[in-house]
Amino acid sequence: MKSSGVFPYKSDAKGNFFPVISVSIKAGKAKKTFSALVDSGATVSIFRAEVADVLRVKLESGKEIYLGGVGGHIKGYLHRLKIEIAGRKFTCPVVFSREYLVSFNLLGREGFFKKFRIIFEEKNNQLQLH
Amino acid sequence: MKKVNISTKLMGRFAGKWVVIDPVKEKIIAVGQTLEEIDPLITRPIGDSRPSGEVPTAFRVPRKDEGPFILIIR
Repeated sequence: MKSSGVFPYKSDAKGNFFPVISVSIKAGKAKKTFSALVDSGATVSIFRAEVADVLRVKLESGKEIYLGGVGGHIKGYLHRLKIEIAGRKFTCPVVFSREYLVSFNLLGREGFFKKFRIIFEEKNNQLQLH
Repeated sequence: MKKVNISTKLMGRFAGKWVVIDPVKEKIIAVGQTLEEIDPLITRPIGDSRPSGEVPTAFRVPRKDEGPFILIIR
C-alpha cells in the first residue's frame, strides 16, 4: 500500500482548480471515501453535516466549538475520527457543522499536516503528499 | 442517483450536485442530488486494503455562484 502520492487538482464549474484529495473514514464495520480540499488556512478540518449523517455519527454528541473565519463564525461539533489518507492511517479531529455551507470539505492542519510533507504544485495543478 | 461515465474534465456540468469519482480512471461514475443517494458507491468493507486515492470518492461540485473562496478557519 503506498503511503505517498501525487493528486491532480479537481476543477469546479468555472474551470478553477483546487487541491482536493480523497480521505477514507471508518464507519462501523465499513469505510467511506470523501473528497476534501487541503487547506493550510484552516486550523482544523471541517466537513459538511451530511457527511456525519452517512457516517452515522451523531453530530451533536461531539464537543461544541465555534469556528472563526473571514465573514464571521459558525457553530460546529468536534469529533475524533479514524481516517486514512494516501495509505497512512491516523486519528484526526474533524468538525461537523450544519452552518458550514461551502461545497468543499476542508482538511485543516491539526492532525493532518504533520503526517506528511505537502507540496502544492500550482504550476502543474497537482498536490504531492510524502 | 444516475450512473454515468464522463471525464472529470467535464465536472462543470454537475455544479451543485454530489458526484462519485473514480480517481484511477479520472471519470465521474455517478451523480446524485444528495450524498445519501451515492453513499453505496463510496462504501466498502473495513478490510479493503486499497488506499483512499484508488477507490471511488464522493465530491460535491461547487455551485456556479460559489467562490472565489477564502477558506480560513480558526
